Amino acid sequence: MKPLDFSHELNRLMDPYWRKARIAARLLIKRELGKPWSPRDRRLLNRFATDSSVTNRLLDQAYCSHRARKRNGRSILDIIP
Amino acid sequence: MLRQLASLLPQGREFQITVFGSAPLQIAVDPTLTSADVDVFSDFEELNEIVLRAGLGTNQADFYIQVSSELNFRTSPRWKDRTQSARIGNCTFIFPHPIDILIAKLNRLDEKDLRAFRAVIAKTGHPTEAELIKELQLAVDLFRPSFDEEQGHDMANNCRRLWPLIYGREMDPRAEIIAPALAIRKAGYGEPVRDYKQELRDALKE
Repeated sequence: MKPLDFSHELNRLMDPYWRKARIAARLLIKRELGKPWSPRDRRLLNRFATDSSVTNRLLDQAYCSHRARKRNGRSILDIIP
Repeated sequence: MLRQLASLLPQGREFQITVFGSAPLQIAVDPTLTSADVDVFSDFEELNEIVLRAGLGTNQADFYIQVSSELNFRTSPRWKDRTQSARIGNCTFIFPHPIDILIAKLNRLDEKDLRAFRAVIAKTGHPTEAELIKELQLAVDLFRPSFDEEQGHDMANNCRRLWPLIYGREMDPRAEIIAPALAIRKAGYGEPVRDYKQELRDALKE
C-alpha cells in the first residue's frame, strides 16, 4: 500500500515565513549544485530578496535543515515521517 | 511590623510575601537605612484589604505597609534565584538580595536611593564597579525607553549620575552596559555568519 502523503496538510500548517525561507534555501542549494534557476525560481527569489520576513537567520536554519535532510534522511527532521 | 503583618493573616494556609524597597537593606545590611514604609507584594489578593483593616496602610500609620505589585519591583531577571527567606507563623517573607534592591533603586535614584548605595557598599564592599556593570548588562532590558503611559525612568541617565558619586569616574552606559549586553544576546541567538540575502541579490543580478 502506498504511504499516505501529508505534505499538503503540513505545508498548510507551516508558518509562512518559514515556508518562504525553506523555498529560498532550497533554491540556493539548487544553484550550489550547479543547476540553473528557472524563470519561476528567479521570480520567487526576487520576491524573497526584498521580503523583510525572510531573514538571514531563517534562511540559515532552512539551509542547514535541507542539508541535514540530505545527509541524514527525512525521518529525523519531519513531524510526519 | 512583619510579625504584626504575619499575625493578621488567616490561619490554615500558607502565604508568601516579598519585601522590597529599603526594608530588606535595613534588616540585612544597615539598620540606619530607615524608610517610612515597608514595600511588599504577594499573590494573596486580600493582603491590601487586611493591611488597611488593621490600620497599617498608607496614610494610616507613621510607619506603614505599602502593598504593591510585583510589577513595581523593576530589577534584574535573576532576582528570584538569590533571595533569602524568613518564616513567621504561616507566612514566608522573601527578601531579595541587596544587589537586586539597588538595581531597582537605580530606576529612580533619589537622594535616599543614593544613600542606600553608599551604605551597602560601605558595609559589604559590594557591588564593586565590575559586579554592578555585569549585573546591569544582565538586566539590560531595564534600559529600554518607558512607555508613553508611564512616568519616564531613565536608567542610562541614572547610571551616568551614579558612577561619579559612587565609583569616582564618568561612565558611558551605552558603551559599557547596553552595547556589550546586546552583543552577548546577539551571539546567543546564533546570528549566521553568512549573508544569504545578499548572496541571493548578487546571484539574481548575474
